[in-house]
Amino acid sequence: MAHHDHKHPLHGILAEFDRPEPLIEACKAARAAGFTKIEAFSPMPIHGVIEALGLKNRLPLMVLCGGIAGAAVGFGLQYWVSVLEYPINIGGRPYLSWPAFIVPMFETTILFAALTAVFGMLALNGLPRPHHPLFGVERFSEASRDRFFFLIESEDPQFDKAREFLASCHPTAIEEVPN
Amino acid sequence: MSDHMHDQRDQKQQDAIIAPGHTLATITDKISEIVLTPPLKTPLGWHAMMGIGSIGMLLLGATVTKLVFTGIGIWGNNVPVGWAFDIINFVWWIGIGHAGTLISAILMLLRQTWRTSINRAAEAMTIFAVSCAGMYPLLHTGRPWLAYWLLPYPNTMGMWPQFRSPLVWDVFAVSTYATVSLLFWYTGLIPDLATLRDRAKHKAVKLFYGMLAMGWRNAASHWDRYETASLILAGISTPLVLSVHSVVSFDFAAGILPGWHTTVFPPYFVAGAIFAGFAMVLTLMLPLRAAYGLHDFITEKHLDVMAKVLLATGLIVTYGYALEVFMAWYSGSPYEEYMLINRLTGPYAWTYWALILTNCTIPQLFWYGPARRNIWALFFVSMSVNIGMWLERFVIIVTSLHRDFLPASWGHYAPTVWDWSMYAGTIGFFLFSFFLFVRVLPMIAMFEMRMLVPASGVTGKDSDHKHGGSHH
Amino acid sequence: MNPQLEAKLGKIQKVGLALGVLGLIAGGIGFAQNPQQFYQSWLFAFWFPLGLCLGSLGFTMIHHLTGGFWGLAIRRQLEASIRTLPLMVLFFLPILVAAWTHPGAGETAHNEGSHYHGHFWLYPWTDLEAVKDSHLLTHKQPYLNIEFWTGRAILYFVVFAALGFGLVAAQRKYEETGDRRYLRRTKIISGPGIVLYFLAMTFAAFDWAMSADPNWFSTMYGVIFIASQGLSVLAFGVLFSSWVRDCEPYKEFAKPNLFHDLGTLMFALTMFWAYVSFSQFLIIWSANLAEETPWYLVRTDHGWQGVALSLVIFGFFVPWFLLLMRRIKRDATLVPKVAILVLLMRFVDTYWQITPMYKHGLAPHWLDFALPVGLTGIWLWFYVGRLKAAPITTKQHDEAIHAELASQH
Repeated sequence: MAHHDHKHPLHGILAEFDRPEPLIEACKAARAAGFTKIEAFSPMPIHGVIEALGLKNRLPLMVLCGGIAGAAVGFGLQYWVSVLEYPINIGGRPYLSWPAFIVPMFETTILFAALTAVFGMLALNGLPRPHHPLFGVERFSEASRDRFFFLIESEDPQFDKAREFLASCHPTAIEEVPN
Repeated sequence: MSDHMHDQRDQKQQDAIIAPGHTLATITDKISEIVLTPPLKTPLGWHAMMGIGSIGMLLLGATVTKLVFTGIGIWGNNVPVGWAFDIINFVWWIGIGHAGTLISAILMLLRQTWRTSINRAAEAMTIFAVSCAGMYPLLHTGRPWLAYWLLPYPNTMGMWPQFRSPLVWDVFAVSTYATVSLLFWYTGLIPDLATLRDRAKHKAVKLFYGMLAMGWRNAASHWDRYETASLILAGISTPLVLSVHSVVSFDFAAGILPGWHTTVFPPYFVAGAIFAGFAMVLTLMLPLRAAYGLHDFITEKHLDVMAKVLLATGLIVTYGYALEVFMAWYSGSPYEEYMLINRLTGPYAWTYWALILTNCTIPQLFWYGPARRNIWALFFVSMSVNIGMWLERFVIIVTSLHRDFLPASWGHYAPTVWDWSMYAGTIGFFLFSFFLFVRVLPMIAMFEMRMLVPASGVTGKDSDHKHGGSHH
Repeated sequence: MNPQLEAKLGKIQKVGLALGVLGLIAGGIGFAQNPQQFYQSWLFAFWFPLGLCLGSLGFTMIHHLTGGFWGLAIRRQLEASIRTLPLMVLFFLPILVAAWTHPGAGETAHNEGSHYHGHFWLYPWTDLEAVKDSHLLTHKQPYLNIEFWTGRAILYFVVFAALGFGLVAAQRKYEETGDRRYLRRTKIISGPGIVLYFLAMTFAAFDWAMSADPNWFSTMYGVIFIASQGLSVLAFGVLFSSWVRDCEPYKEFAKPNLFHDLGTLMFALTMFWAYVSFSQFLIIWSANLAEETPWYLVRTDHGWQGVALSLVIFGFFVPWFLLLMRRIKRDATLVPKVAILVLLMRFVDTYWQITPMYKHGLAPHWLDFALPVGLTGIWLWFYVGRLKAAPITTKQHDEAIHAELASQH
């Protein structure tokens, strides 16, 4: 999906299915055949596809780090304000009133974790990206309704075999995706 | 035996969370049609509700203008009742908001698939309810343009917030809650916005939804991260929503005022929030279901489950009220005891007894099965709870404040016309925003509904059991 | 019954009986030496088996109302646990005796630790002389008097027994006859039953534990005890399921999914327990009222602060963090280790809740170890006996489990 100096005239070749099962089969077969630059499209998340593509994601770890950072910032802020920068006696309670500090600290933990989850997901997905070659294919708009698509990108080293492979997956249609 | 089978078939029909016969395409078309219909074809009821909402908006505008130019003296609260409508309504609105998060987060974690058809609308309700809630403390400061003073930031006055105060905790809790709710809602909308982009005929409409969808193209690798992000958001929203109403309860319980200071407040406030929120969800969904003919997606099963949630949370708040009464006596503190007597027999006693009627007594109707599936009974009880939960906050705030430790400082409180106009105005704001949402955004999550279509025979990772485990 | 399971259960039963008898013999010796200490340790020890028994009642009712695989898979365990209720009545007798009797003149020396003075074994309000001297105790006398207290205890046990045995009987009838009317009956009992359980348990916690410090009060108290009971039941469910996971019929369903479900519930309840415990603390700490803070002052001084800290770390953070990980929750050898920690911390929590009332400094007596071991051992022996006495699996039960398993695919 990255930009190239020497652009292939095609972004890739797209096969269309009317059911999810053949899409799952196509994903498995493509990986078995050694294709690497592949992607599946469906109107809803399909676990079989994600598993068949062998996808891994780093998001949980990122969120954990975000949460820990949030806790540190929350506690650090309160400690610095209440103990170092602006110590005032409130009803004889200690400057380091940790029972009270737990509450804002909890909130900053959640806030940082949530921000990491959403913006991390968008960043890893390369969004926002308003335009994409796939949007040039008219049928592709059905991917958000009831059609299933499988794409082999032109960057794939075995791209020359792509059309033949896709034809063997019994799709309802095959289309070229211009770049 | 045939009786038995008949029973079972009935049971199946009652338990369906999506009417039979739907496909991926029909779901998509039916739901996106509501949004993509030309304005003139919108149901009349929608225009009526928008009209009411707009009048409320105008009222809100007028009240806020008067308030800002004159000061908060136009409200009825004054020493000793320094908190009244502003905080009652703040707590009332934020409580209502909690059901949205509960439905979208907790029920997602509990794998309650029936939530799918109501979670989008419930989340929208959360956002608008939290906006209404937020207006009150901001305006109560009297100078809302200086509201940023609430936040910790280095300033020329050299001052910082006082972190031992529950009011500062509240700033953190409510602003985090508003942010996370908005993120959760928007994240949930992205795939549906892409559907609308793809379905829209008009170029401007296409562009509008296209920009909002940010280029979502339903790729499997995106779905994977998307679902992970949603599950994580659900996981952290659950403790968040509990913390927010707990912090609201600390606003009262961390003080020493009889009627405010009691340890069971946090869980009982949270239950009350869910109670109020589910009542509001029902209040909104019942007419919408009728107006848009959504009986296929919001089935009797949904109504039944929501009624049961109302019954259960209503019993928890009743438990809270009962413990308050018992402990006020058991504590042996004369102030606690007087608070109790004043609450039960004082000048505002009618609010307490009305609260017992609306929150504790009327919801008991739901022990009776057919009542849980009767829309009139449901509407009656949900309105009763909407009123009851408002009264609860009135009882806690006004009745406790107006007679505290020192009889010399006792007083009386009565709301002014501006108190009422502000309250009516926020209801108008809420209706306006909600019906605007219904018109421009899909009120049922399409992509999640698609996952429920039996014919699709596939599932996402909303269920851990379906995910990876040794069970395949 | 499958011989392998029978052998395994027999072994657990023997270990339970041996520990129980040893513990009770030690208890007898302790009673002769120091009855005051005996009663105090007994009260603390009593709560753990009681939590397993009544918590199981609560979970069974919740499961009848909500359904779910986890509850079906441990249904027999929960039912056997409910049927240990008669043993709970026996275990309650020493507490009843302690409430009705008074130490002789020479025996009051042991009471020095308590900040209440007078002739009582466990509950200061049982000494009428002390009640006369105290304005607060006089005020509370209509509630805290021995006759009413005993009457309430009988009422609680009647409620628990009616619910528990009613449920177990209806469920068995259904499984014997396949008549769905009985299934409906379990739901009809469970709806109001869960309300009654919460109320009875709340007031039982007030009566049997909170009133040991009769000046102090907290509306959250019952909720904390209920959360604690729930935790012990889940942890015990994990532990027991992992013990018997190699034997038929458990082999079929004591799989990663079951441990995952129970682990997730344990995770949620660990958070809930921490949430209610911390909320009570924060509210009392913030208000800083003389009526309430002493309860925490006593519990965070003279060694007790170490116990409090261990509750924060090992009662919350460690199990919370471990149960956050999917890998651990699904592992039938790892998650029981977390369950053991959770169970141990239930003892520590109860000890921290109850004992500082009698001892200002942390100074565990050997009876504080002997009696919990003894009571839990006897309970385990009796529990396995109950488990063996009923069919582990029936046609209806099998069908229900298989339906749940199928719906997960």
